[in-house]
Amino acid sequence: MISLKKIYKYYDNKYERTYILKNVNLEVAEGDFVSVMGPSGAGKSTLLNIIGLLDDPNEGEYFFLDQPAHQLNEKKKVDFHRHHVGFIFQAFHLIEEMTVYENIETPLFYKGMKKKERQSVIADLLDRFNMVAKKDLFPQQLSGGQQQLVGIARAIAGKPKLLLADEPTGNLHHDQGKMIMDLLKKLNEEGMTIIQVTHNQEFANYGKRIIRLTDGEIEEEILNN
Amino acid sequence: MKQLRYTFRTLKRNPLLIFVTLPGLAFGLAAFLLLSVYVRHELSYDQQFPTKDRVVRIVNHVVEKQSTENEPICLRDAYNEIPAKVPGIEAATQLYRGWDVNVDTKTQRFEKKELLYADPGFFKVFGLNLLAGNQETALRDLNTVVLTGQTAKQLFGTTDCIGKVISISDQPFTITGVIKKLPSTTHFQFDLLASMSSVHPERFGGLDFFTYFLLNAHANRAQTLAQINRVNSDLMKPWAAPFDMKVTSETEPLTRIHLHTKADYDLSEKGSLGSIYLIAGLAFFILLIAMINYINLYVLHGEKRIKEIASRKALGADKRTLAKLFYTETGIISFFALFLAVWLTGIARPWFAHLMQRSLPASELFSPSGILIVLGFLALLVLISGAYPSFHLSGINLVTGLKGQRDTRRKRSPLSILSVVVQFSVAIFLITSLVVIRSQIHYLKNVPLGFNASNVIGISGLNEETKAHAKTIQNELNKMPFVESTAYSRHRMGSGSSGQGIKLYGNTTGSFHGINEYRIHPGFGKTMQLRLLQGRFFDDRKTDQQAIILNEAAVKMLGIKDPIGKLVIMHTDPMKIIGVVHDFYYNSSSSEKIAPLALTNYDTGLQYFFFRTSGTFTKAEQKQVTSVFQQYDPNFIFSSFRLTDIYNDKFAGEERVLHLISAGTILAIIISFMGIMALSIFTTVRRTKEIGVRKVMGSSVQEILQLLLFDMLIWVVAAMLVAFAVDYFALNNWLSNYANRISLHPGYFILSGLLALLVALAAVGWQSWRAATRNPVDALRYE
Repeated sequence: MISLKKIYKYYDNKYERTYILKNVNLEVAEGDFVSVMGPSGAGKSTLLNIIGLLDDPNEGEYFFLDQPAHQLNEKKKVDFHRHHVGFIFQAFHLIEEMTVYENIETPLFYKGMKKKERQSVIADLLDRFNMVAKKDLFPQQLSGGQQQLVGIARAIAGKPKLLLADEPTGNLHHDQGKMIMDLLKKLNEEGMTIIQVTHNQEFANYGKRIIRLTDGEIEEEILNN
Repeated sequence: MKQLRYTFRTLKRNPLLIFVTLPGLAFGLAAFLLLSVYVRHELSYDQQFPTKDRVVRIVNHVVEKQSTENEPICLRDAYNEIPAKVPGIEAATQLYRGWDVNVDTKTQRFEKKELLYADPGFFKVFGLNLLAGNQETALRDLNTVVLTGQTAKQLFGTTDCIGKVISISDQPFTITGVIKKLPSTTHFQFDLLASMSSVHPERFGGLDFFTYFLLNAHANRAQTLAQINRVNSDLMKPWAAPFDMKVTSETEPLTRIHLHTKADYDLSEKGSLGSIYLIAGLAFFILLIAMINYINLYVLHGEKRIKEIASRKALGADKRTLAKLFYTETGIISFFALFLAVWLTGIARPWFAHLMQRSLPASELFSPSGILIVLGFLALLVLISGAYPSFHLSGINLVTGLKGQRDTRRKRSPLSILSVVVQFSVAIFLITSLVVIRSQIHYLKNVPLGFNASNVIGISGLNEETKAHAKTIQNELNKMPFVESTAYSRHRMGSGSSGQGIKLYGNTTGSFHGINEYRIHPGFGKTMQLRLLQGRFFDDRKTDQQAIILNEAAVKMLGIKDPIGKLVIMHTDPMKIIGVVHDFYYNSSSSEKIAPLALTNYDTGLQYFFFRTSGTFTKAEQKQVTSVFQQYDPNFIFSSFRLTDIYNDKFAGEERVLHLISAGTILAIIISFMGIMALSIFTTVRRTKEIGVRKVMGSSVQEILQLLLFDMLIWVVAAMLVAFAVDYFALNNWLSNYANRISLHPGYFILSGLLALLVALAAVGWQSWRAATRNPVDALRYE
């Protein structure tokens, strides 16, 4: 599903070139659950951003479903965001002016879904995440764990093939984090491809593979059974 | 609908948008709506006449040596001869000013009614219809009069009054018609319109008649006008020749009279194109400030929500959907602002009507054209304020955007700098103008008049019986202890004079000089406290009826070395100069130069009675005076004016404009103040971390304050330079219209500059102080 070939990301300063990612090669098959670990500044988030087409590599090729994603134009990128990928953020990034219901609705809206259809999709999600009673609340009225639940619901509402999670538990305490991870695992078992970035070894172990990044290079890859 | 809901929530969560952006824009729009009423009112003069495009009026340019006088008046011959000689004329009328008169019905007296005389063709020329009466014959006969509906109601309680007889200044007139009162946007006004044949035949000799022609729709316009000009120039020749003057005639279209007439004066106060530009500019500038403020704040607000926009993009929003978001949002906010503006305008209406000194119906306030212009500006506003975030924010880098950052290196966007500079330039420009205009008017009011106007009370509305006994009344009043002196005269201070020609006796080759004449009686000089330079005032000796007193300007014009005892010719007889008085402001205000004046004592008639009191004038004293007059006029009502009021009123037009500018300036300052304050809140929030770090590094509160204030004030100073440069030229230009004027002292600029700095300091000071004194730990925790 995802194929990264010799990906480089760097910043040029006056006298030297600072590498964020160095010669990263990565294959992710459909249905995989990959955890990316590493110290601060190792390039974890940059890698995730490149996979999510939020950022462009300086060198290298990126194939998504056998299409050259590094060559997509702005319009195609929007399409990619609409149909193929869902994001979960450490800081949730819920839109504060919108209720829970409306936050989940946003990607569906951008996808051009009909109102009736949207209602049923959201109703299912709320039901599944036990948030029916909270649908008219605003993000700031929810706890962190609940906010992240909404974030996940929003990310998967459009039924993306790929779910990208940048430290989804980073702002949560342990019990809430565990709940989120259990949910991600369940989604993976249902067939969703997931790539997560995390600092937490325990949560990394939820993945089928763990990739360790150091100074922009893949140091080791552990298969986790 | 969904968007409306989100916008409401956005507003609710952003008090700056509600309390600064929205009202700022609303203030601007309201000011624009109100000020455009003034402009539209001035532009709509004489537009109501159905025949407006075919009516012209004659103006005579009277050239005498270097000076030219532009008279909107003609000889009576213009009416008698031109229509017969020029084929393209369909109808003609002249107007003759009758001033204010008293009207008596059988039961009651009504004072100060405006009287105008007109020819029978009046209704045809202006395309007007009578409410009652026959318009063919209404103004045909001697001593007939047409009333306005308003006057008829006042006099009789009904407009059904054809055939009734009223007395106008003791003359009986038969009412032959009732006409709707002309709107205030007419360059002539009347309560009573009398037939021209009722004018005393003696008056028909002079240059006194406002002359209007209705052109035939099928005639060649240019040719007809050329013919009118030529024939009238010819008619003027015999009048001008003895004075060695040249007259060229010109016609002016009716609709251009109010604003563009070349005449020096008119039947009503002339419109001022300058004021219109001034007010229109003011309206535009206030709206500009409000709009720039709005755009700037909305853009800043957009930067604050970079995270939201990045989230939306990550969820699949494209440029178009984001643009739609911004446009609908700013559209909705502008719509609210418009609503608020309309409400504010409604509230300000009575106050504004008072300022304009006329009633202001809502229909005029919210005219379709005004609303359309405002909507046009709003559309422009929405377009600009939506475009910036659409183009810039939707193109942000998503990675940094999600962190809520955006190009942190740049402290201040060019847009906010522009906003500060433009707003303060306009505000400082207005403040300086206000200070200078106020000083100039104050200065004009305090230019010594050359006589003592205080404590002089004038009485008008005298009947013939009273006038015949003027001398006796004067003697009786003089006996009263509170009366210092009394006078009566044909002309009065602060009002019209008689135009004459004068030259030295025995000078057979030289021509006549134009001079103004005041016909007065002994006691006038003493009562007005004119200051004698040489000679003496008139007294009761018989020979004084052939004597004349000149002012300095007249002596200078005639070039006489030793004037006392010299003879001059005015009218036809030689007159002996018995006195010279210092120049004093008589009919002109101190905004103009004092023209030559002659005082004479031969006229037995009078219009006004004056007396100088020793100070206060009580009700009891007024009763005493009234009883004297009532011996000759049982209906006499004490109807007085104070000379000081008359001179103060001369600046009513200037003061009205001044009030408008004051209001506009205050509004501009408020809007700018709010805008700059909001801007400072945004920037200090943005720099919270920087300030925290600086403080941890050991910076003092004072140093941080300096940093923050300097950042803003440097642009205010830049704005000041721009404003002062423009002000210097604009105000010098304006001041050059006045004969007496203040010079542009640097003090005016320093004063308004300080004021602007104070406003800016107040706007940014508090925010900066708060930011500078905040515990750095709080600031750093912010991240």
